[in-house]
Amino acid sequence: MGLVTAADFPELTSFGTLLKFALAMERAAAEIAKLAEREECETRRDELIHCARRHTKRGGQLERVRRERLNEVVLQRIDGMEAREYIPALDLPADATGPETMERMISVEESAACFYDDAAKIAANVLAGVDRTLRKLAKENHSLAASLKMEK
Amino acid sequence: MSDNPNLLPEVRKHYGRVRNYIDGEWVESGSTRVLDVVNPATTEGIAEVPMATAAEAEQAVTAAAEAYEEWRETPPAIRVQPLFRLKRLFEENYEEIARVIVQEHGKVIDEARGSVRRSIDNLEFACGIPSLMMGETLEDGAATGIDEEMIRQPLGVFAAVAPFNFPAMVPLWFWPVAVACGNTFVVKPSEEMPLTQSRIFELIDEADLPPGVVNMINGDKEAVDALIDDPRVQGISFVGSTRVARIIYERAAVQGKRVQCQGGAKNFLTVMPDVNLDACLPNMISSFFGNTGQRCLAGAVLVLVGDRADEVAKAFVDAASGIRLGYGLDEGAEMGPLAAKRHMERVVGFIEAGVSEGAELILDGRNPGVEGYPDGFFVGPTVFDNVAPEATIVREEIFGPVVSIVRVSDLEEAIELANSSRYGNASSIYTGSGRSAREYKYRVRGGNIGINLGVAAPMAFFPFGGYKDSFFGDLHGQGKDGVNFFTERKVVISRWV
Repeated sequence: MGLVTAADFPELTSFGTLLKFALAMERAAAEIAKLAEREECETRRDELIHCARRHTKRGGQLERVRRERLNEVVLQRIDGMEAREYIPALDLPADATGPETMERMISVEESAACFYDDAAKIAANVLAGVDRTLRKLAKENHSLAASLKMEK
Repeated sequence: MSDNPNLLPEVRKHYGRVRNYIDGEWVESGSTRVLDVVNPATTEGIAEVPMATAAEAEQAVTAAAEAYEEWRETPPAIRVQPLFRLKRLFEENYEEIARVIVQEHGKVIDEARGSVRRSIDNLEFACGIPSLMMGETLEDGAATGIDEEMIRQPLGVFAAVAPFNFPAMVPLWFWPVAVACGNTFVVKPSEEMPLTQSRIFELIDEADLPPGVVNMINGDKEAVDALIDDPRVQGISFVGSTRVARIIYERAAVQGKRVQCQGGAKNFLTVMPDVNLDACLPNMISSFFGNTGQRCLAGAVLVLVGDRADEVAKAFVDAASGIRLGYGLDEGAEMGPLAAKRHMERVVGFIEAGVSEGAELILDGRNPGVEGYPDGFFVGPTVFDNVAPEATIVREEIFGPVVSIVRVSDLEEAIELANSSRYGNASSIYTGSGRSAREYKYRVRGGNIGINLGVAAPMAFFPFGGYKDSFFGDLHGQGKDGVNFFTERKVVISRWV
């Protein structure tokens, strides 16, 4: 899939790069979850499709945050976040089985949760108001990961 | 440059010959004086802009004057409808406008996006004119049975002369409120940065304001003089250097016009020994180096108070030296080039003046050698330490990423230093003490004060302007000051017999 690579994000040092990374993660997550639409992924297809919808919607939410919250008063360098720490394995083959897709999706949700948890802490200092959105996204990632992990 | 995965695409490689927008039409200028518009990072020519003649400026004023009567009779609630549409168009074209700004100005994309947001904020404010423009009434105000009321009325044609540093935002400080109040308008963007406003005027055209209500001419002194001297122009808004602000103020005021002229700045950022340095340092850095130091609210002098001066200076220089320079469309770049070659040369001239006057150059940003952009107009973060308060680099506006560190013994001395400047646009204090903050806020003579915040930029609903040589006039831009500037108050006393 190659939607997010560490090379695309050498550093997360600004509001823009942080949000750009988040948007790329959401696109990648939605795309992986959409793989559930294939025949190979019969099991728990609805859950994965739900994930895809959620990640697409979250992308729109982040885009709105980027536009509405960016002003020069809060524009300052962000330290302490490296994209490579949050990039899950995304190179899922096109013929991946249902369980493989599910496993990868869980990993994506967990990585994203970790990213949003850390980003929310940084945002609390420099981007007050944005941290609430990021915490909410992290909470949803945790919840989606837990739900996908449950044996059904 | 194309190998960089972080590089956003340019909107267009070349924008051709920039036109004027008069009476709802795009008009080619007949001027023979033409400037090149240059991308300051790549140094590629990206457009040509003719300098409007006095006759062309007069045409724009004629269009505005002819549109005025019908526009002022249009109810305020109807007048704001095109502004609502324009706000939507801004949102839809937000990213594109930001990229045009980067292309012609050089600031990094986040800064450009932030300035588009500020533009939208001003449109939103103006959309509230039906409430903001309301008058006041007092029954029996004059005597029993005699009511008194105050109504606000538009005046006619206004004009704005905009600077190069915020190509999208500054004209929107003025014209949306003016037009919503029932006036008509002529915008003259910076001749160095005409493309952003051209794109915005395409959106204005799409928003379907009646012809002549808002007009744009691209030009320089000839056009500005024509606007000021045209008797139909009721008032002028200007943002730029103090030298030009004073000239425009005097020339317009002597003709009895309304004038609001924002001039230069030299902003002092005072750091107290009780500062929470970890929390505040990134903010200081952003103030000094954001927009490559090219904003009237940028920090210029870092005033270190007391016994933590060495520690703060070292942390500051360490952070400044890590700033990554690059083309603003590279989302990883933290600081772009200066906006034009002449600005770069001016900034370098000030660095040389600092050296020759004996200031200690501890971070030299000259010839930074930015990979992929060898000819770009870059000057990296530059820091002088132990600068004398009377040094040229402390007194004069540099408008670039050059910081002068001045060490003082206490808050009293810091306040005196800030107040000794001929400028009074902005000033900030970083401290954990409410008492120090209150003292600073109370005593520093500046129009915009930051407490643990280095860019005290008033939002659209607050007035924006400085003191002393940073502002000439009375009513500032934005907020209720804007409504007052663009309206005349009339008192009506009524008796029914």
